[in-house]
Amino acid sequence: MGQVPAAEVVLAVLKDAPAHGYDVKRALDSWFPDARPLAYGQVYATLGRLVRDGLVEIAETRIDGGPERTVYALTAAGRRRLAGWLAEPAVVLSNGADEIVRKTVAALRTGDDALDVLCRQRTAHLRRMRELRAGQPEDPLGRLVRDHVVAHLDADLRWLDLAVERVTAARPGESESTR
Amino acid sequence: MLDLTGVGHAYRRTVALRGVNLRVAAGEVVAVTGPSGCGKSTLLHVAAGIIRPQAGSVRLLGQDLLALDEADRTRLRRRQVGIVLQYGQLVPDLSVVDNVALPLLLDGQRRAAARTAAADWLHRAGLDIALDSLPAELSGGQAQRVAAARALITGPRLIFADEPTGSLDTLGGEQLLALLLDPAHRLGAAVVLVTHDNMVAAHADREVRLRDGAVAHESALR
Amino acid sequence: MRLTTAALLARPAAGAGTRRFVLVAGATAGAAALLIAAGRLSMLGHRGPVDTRLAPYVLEGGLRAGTVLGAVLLTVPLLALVVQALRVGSLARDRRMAGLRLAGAIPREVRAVAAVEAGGAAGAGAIMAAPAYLILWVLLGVLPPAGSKLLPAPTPADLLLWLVVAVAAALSGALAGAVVHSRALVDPLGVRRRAAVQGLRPAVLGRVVVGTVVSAVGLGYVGVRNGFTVLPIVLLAALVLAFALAPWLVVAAGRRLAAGSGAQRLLAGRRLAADPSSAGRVAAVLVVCGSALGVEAVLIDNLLSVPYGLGGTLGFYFTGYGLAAVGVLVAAAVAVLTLLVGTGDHLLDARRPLASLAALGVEESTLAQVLRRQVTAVAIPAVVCGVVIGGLTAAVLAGWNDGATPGRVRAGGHALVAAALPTAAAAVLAAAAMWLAARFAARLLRPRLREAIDPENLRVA
Repeated sequence: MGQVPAAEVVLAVLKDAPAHGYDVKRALDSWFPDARPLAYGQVYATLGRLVRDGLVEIAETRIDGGPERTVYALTAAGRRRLAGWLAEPAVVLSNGADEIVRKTVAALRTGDDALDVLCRQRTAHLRRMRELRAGQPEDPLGRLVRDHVVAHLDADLRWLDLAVERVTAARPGESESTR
Repeated sequence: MLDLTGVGHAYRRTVALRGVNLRVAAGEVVAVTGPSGCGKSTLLHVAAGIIRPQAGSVRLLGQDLLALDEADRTRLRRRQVGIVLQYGQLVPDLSVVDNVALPLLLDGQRRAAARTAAADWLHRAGLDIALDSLPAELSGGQAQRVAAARALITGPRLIFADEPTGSLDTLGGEQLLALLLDPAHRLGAAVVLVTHDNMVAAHADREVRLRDGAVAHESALR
Repeated sequence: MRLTTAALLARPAAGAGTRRFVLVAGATAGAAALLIAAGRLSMLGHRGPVDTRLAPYVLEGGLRAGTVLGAVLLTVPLLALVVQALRVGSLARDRRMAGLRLAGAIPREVRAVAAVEAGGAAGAGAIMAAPAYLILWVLLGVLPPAGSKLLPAPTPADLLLWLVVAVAAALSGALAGAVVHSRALVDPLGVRRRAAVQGLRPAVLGRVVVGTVVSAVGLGYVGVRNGFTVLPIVLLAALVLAFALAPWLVVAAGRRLAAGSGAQRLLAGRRLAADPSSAGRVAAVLVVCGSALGVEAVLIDNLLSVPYGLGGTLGFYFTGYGLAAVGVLVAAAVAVLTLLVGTGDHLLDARRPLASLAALGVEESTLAQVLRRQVTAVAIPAVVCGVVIGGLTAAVLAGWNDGATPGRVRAGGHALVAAALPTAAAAVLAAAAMWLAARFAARLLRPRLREAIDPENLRVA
């Protein structure tokens, strides 16, 4: 995971309820526990950019004894941006893993249609794999580079499948045995 | 080519398929995917006419499979359909060339002609082995390519493969898939690949994903 | 390993394990009962008064020896059945044994488990031999009218005989179990069967040479000197010869079949050639049955062509031949049962390839034809071979006996010609019977076949 959170993930954190900058950071840390903990500065910088772009607004500024605390909330434009981002599969690149994880986790944390998001991502990945397979270079070493990309896509896909498994297994009533 | 409508099937207490629709056009390669136990194999068995579903209809190459009797279904399968399974499908007592020649022999062809055709297919499958070797002497990849040659020797219009690369390594799997998909690309045969392997599914034109015996989603990959 | 541990591990599993136990025990019980009967008959007259209601075949010393020999010979097909039954479910069992090896059992211990399992089944059969003998006595000693009873009433001495036979049966059962098991090489990661032995091994060659020489010399002695005392040795040698050569008969039949056109012939022929030893044992029994039939056919023909007639003694002869024919029939039935057991077991082992063939588009009826061909391709040549051998032997012996001077085949040519017709008739009869038996066998195996080709067997395990 990279250090700077994608702006859209911050939007996702704010989707259900307004929050302090500190709460946003804590939520991001808990969503991506294996990533390096974020510095406050990064979070505040991102929030500032989102406010500037009209995607997030400042709901209130409270001073209860301690330092001044600003509560941030999503704007309608912010909601639209989040929905649009989730609806669009991540660009499938060899190093697109970060974006996939961000998007998947955000979808699972926020949306009811998380399965749709995962399915669309799966299709996008398979398509990319197929493209790479179809236009195989003749040169075996050139293929080797392709193989590297494809292997990473395959790993992503397996991770996506596992995500679906976990989501459906977590839902009660759907674990009946079938073949 | 293949048209399944509202197919449902259950084994004793477990439901394998519920209301599955599947259409496959000529020249199309369809991957049926899903976690193990989702009903993939059952769907393939129903589509190939190996088992009769308890609900729904199956049209295979313009014929209503449920209206045909066992013998007619078997003959249809023998002449127009090729089937490859994951492993253990070769007759252990027969040499590889006889295994490949078997569908032709069953259709009453002369021994010499059938063996010549079989040897040709073994060659096409890239198998550099003695024609009279027994299946037990082959590696997993070789055995699967022999099985593919046997499935293709009749020039089937529909090819079913159930986890064909399941016991192979990546390269062996690629060689096998190239062999199996060639008729689709050159002759317009339809191929249905049942697999849990995304690398295999990525060879298809369309993915049909099953979950708990129903189609979870379908997507064009081309 | 403790014996109790071996016994625990040897407990038959459900399904094939139970079937194996029942077959081994049943066949052992039959063979042991026959041995007790043979022992009882051979002791007849040695002590105490003799029951005069017995048939002449057991009362007269010379004839009694023949009857005893017949009873002993009848155990041969039963023993062949035991050997076949020991192989029932071998695939599942070998897998279990491989599991034992993986769990840390050394080969000797695995062999011990196999021996205890087979010995247990044979022991159970040996115990059942007592009631089996009583049934035999009811059939042969109670039901027949006075003058044709073949078995005297049981005496306390029979109990001792039973004990001896039972212990011997259990021990040889255990030995057979260990030997049959050691034919398969079990390693902890699975089973690799030893390849079918092709070519004449020295041991088999030795058996063939000894069998041929002994039976030829012995037959000559029988013919020239009328020395029927060596007949058991001749028969033993002939049995050795038959069992040594029969697998080659099967391989030849399989190759011939596979060379013909059609997928059924190919499948049936290659199956036979792949495992000639199972079918070979059956073929050997059938050759012996056929020989007996051939001898009988010539003897009956001779009897009928005696110009001055035999008057009242004709009935005596025919009862004897009838008894022998019943014996042959029982032996042949046991042989066919053995073939059924072997073929049925193979259906179980080959479920996946068979189900794949069905998926490929092979009809069930085609596979049933394959089964039928597998039976006929072995059974018909074997009985016909046997009939011809038996007919020839009987004709040659009859020719010798015709001669006033021993050792000269004076009327040999004539006797051969005369024997041709009854031999041919017997051959046709036997072949027809085997053809019918094959149909019957295929019918019996049909449910097993249907199970084997169930699409369920295609599933990835």
